[in-house]
Amino acid sequence: MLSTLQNPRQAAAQLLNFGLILSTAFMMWKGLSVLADSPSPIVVVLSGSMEPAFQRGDLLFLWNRNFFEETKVGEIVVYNVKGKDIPIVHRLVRKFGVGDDAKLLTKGDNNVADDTELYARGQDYIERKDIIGSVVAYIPFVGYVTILLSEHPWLKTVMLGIMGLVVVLQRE
Amino acid sequence: MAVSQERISVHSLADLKNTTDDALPTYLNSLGFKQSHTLTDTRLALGYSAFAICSATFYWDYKFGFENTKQYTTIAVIIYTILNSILTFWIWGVEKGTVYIGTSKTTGEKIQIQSKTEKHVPKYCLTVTTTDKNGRKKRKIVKKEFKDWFDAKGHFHTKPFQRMLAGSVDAIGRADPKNAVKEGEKEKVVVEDKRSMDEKWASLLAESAGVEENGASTATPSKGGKKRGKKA
Repeated sequence: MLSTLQNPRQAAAQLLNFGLILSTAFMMWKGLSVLADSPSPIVVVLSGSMEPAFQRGDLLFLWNRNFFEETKVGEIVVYNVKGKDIPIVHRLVRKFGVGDDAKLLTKGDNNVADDTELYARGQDYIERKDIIGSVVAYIPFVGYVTILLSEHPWLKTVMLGIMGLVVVLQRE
Repeated sequence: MAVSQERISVHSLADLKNTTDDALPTYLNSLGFKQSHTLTDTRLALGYSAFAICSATFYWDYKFGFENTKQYTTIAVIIYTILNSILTFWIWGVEKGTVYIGTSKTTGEKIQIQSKTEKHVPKYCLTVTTTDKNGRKKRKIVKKEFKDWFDAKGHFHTKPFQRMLAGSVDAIGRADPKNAVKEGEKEKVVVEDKRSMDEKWASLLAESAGVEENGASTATPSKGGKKRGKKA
């Protein structure tokens, strides 16, 4: 089977198949990002702070455009905090002012206190630009795979290896 | 007689087809056909441009972040989608499983061969379109069983395969008259008796015991026995 790789055109075609699978997945992700106007339109819940609404491992779909109305109190939003690279999923509980300058306060449904503790040092509220999207849909539990993968990094290597092998060896 | 060193799994239709697809150009090129790679090259060009766009998107997204490159990403996604649609159209609508396009250096005939298999049917289906010098097109559908040129162990046999092509496609037959044996006669030559002495004894015994055999097939209970038994 590997002898087929001697033909340069066939080798190029096989490599392309592999490349197109990866690139199509990436471009679909980017397409969704652009559509939802969010750098990360699908996120996985990592903590239990939003129980009982969301459990660890739930997959959330985000929408970051305000066509008809502004992001309002009661929506579950995902936001970034300066200096932290993991976005947080919490509910919007207070809003002062309107537009992009409105001061927003968030809180986890399952947390005792609001999020001021979680914000950066000296930061008492977040703004619209910190939010990367409001949750519009979710699928329970399927995101647990990514939690497993990030907690056991060697699984990633194994998975990539298997996928690569399958694509290279199979020509269907 | 040329037999491939490599063995494939005879249970994998994809392997049977791919090995045969690969053997086709080698044979036809040896007969003085000049292979045209335009279809494949177009496909590769389309695919790799799409891939290049994707790589660029990945790079600027990684380097400058999402917000700063939103417009470029939007454009890239649109172009990528278009390129990928053309590519899909090219594969399904234009190539349609084409494995060979070539022009005979002597007669100037153009020959295009498309191959496919149906699910769970071990037959090689070829659509051969020949265009002569005056532009007259002729289309022929050839359906042959893979077992004609694969033995039970999965070795590819060049000779019966070449006979199959030369015998069923006129344009190839003219280029390779030695192999251009007409249908009926062919069957006898195709099957080789590759049985070991023991197997032959076993089949002789089976015969004397009143088990009916047909043609060149054997009723031996060996590994290959079942496959061969089907050949009628």
